[in-house]
Amino acid sequence: MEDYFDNDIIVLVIYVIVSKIANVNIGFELLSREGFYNNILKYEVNEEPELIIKSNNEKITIEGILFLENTFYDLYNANGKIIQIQKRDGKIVGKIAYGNPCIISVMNDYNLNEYLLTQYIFQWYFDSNKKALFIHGSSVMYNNMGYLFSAKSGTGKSTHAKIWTDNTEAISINDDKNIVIEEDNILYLYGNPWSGKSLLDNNVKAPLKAVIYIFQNDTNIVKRLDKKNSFIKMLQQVIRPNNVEEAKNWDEMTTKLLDIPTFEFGCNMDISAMETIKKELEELK
Amino acid sequence: MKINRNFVLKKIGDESVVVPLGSEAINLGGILTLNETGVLLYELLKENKDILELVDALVESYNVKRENAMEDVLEFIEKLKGLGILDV
Repeated sequence: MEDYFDNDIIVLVIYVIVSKIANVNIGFELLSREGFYNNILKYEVNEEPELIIKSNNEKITIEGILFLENTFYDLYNANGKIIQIQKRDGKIVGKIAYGNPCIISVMNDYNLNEYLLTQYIFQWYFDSNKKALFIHGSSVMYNNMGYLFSAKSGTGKSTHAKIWTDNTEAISINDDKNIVIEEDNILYLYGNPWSGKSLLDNNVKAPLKAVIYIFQNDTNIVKRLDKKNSFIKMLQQVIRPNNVEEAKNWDEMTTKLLDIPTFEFGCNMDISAMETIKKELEELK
Repeated sequence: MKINRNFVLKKIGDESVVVPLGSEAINLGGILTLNETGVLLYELLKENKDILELVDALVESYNVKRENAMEDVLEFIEKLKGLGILDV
């Protein structure tokens, strides 16, 4: 949707789309029509939005709002409304005013900052309203089941997932920020468009069959983890709630995730790595 | 003395761990495993009980000498303070 004044001055061009992501209709009004916008097109629906996110490029100021805390961003309270200020290299690049609608203000790189800020809103909305858990990793759907490969950045989980998608009929679910949702006591991985640099994701849903924490190794070794060791691994990759008030769902969801078979997998980047873990996974009931 | 609100006690099978949330997750990288006694004391601290009440609880539950219980409680409290779990 493009709005023009009669005298040819472009006031603001806004791209409007409603996408169903993990069963929630999110209405986006974005300034950028680059990578991220293209990525949410896969999830487009012709339905009413449940959550609305509006983007603008208004000047960001922190005058007159009350500082709360700093984590990966600064949080403020403005008359009861939570405001998040995002900085990069010490400079303010974005702002979120939480609510419904959520209003974001972006500076400089609209595409990058809209991706980043909408991702925070996605997390916030699901953490506060749904039984959901976010885990860093690369997930694939194979034989209608979901498999999550998790590890810290740079370990090669995307590379490993790519071996699956290149050599089997597996498709990517999400290549960065995975959302696990509980429905009728079953945990599902849902595709979502916040899939990292690769923007590799699909509009699919699959029951989570196994979680595999990988590390680099010359030979391929698989070890099943007990709950405590699974939890220690999980804690490094799962997104934790900000405070105790939001922790109840998180506690429930992490406990349920520990019931899913979990493996530690030392692997190389060879096709034999996939064959090793695939054999193990196929033995699961 | 108050348990910092950014920590949650979580049961994993038979074990209990204390997990930092929010900004504390960045400050303290790991998790803290508690034994049965630790869980008892932690729960009491969450209810804002004082040191003497913690000692009483240990003496009652484990039939230990008062002075030993006092030593254990103080040690536990120092440990929690050191990790930022207990605000003074």
